[in-house]
Amino acid sequence: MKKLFEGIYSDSKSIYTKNLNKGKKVYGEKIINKNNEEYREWNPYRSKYCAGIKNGLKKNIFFEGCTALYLGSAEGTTVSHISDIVEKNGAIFCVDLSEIAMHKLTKLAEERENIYPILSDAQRIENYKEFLEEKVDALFQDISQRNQAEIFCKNAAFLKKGSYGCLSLKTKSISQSKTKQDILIEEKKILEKEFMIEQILSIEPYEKEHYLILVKKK
Amino acid sequence: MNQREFLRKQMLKKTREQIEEKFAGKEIHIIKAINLLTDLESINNLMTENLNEWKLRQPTGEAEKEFLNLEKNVKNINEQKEKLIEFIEKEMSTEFPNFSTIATPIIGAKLLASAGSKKKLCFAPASTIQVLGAEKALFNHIKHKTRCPKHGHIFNHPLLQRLPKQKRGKAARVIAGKLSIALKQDYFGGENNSKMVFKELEKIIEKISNEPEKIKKPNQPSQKNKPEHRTFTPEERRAFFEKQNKEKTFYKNNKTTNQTTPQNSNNKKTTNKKDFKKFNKFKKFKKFKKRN
Ligand SMILES: C[S@@+](CC[C@H](N)C(=O)[O-])C[C@H]1O[C@@H](n2cnc3c(N)ncnc32)[C@H](O)[C@@H]1O
Repeated sequence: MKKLFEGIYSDSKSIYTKNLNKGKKVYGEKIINKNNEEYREWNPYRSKYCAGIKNGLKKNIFFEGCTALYLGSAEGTTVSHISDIVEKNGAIFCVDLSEIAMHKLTKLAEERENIYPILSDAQRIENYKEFLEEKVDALFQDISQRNQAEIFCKNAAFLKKGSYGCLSLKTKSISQSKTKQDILIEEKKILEKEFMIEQILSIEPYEKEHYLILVKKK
Repeated sequence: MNQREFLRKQMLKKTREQIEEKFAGKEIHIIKAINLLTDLESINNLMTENLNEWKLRQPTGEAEKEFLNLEKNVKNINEQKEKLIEFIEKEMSTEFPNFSTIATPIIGAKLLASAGSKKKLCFAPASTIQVLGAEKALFNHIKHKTRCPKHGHIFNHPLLQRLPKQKRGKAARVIAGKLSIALKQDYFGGENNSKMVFKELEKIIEKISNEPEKIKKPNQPSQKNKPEHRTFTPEERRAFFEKQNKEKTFYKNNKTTNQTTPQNSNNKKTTNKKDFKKFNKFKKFKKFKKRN
């Protein structure tokens, strides 16, 4: 078992995180035991952040004990692994719009102590301002809206200066007719107002029409 | 650390309450039922169409067995549809006594599904109710300045169906107004006077249908610009092509040798395009004639 980043491990084929909630699966993934530790397999086809790591992401924006804001958490597939990474001292604030997805996430939040669910639209930051008085160390966004980049910039208000954020850009939901390269150029302009862009990755074999953008707040 | 734990508990409680509020409402069952009903209708249409075609070919043996099975399924779907309609009518008349009698239960349920929840529907202004169900046209109107939609789901209302096209917009406005009043009555537990209101509404609609029609102004720009439809004679066509070819060569020569008169050639090009459009129309017309 090799250490890729802090909290993320890999063997020859797959990527793993240490299981925080011993003996429990979240979405039917594989669990393996090695050296008295329990590891959960991270499926790149179901999580865009993992696909990014497989394709050579430069930096892991999450670390042990960090507070993170996760926009578009859905059922908590990716969130469960990030919860493994930040461990008990960390906190993940998960924002999602859909009640049905949130229903599953609250069940996950009962088991894992570092998950803080928020049911709200990510565009209306005034809805969850009160919970985020301390600024967060990491920002991740994966929502399929036309103004993804603008939402990301809005939520940058919660991010500490000089810390990292990661945006998964779904080009199909911005425009059906333009090519993804053209869309990327336009969205980059919006992002550059708030951030410095560190890396742009395509996560091609795992997810089509998607980009993963690593940024650092100015 | 303790503070954080407290915060987490609070947040969990709040989201759980929000979710329950969404799920607890009875209207969610109506919304799901009406969505399923529209699905069933489209499935039914598709299946009966294909089955009827198959029936004409007279299936035998193995094919007949399959055919009979499928026919049974279609019958089942029809029964299910009727049951669903009954259920929706019952639920709507208990949840919205005033609204469902004026709007008819099915249209009312469709409006409810478009609005999303009881509260949203009841607090919507009449103008919103009028265009619910025509969202696509409405946003096109806002964005691309196309014509504004006159009616959404209300279009299927029995009172609207009898009217001529020009008067439907006005009538839809009146009905939507009455509907929004009825919704407010239902939400805040008002009395049930829907039958009286419905009769009143019928009278108003009749009055509208008896009004004389507005005469359109004769000189409207849309009619002025209409291209004339006529067929081209072969001579004309030949002349057209000759002219085009000449211009093409002229343009080419000019482009390479003579750059002082770009304006002139430009002008000619635009006229050219117009003519070509006309010709295209002619071609289409010919194809159409051949087919019939
Ligand atoms: C593709 S899913 C995210 C999947 C997740 N990242 C994972 O890997 O497990 C997108 C989610 O964004 C949510 N969403 C869409 N629009 C939103 C908005 N305006 N605000 C908050 N969440 C939104 C949707 O409810 C959906 O669950």
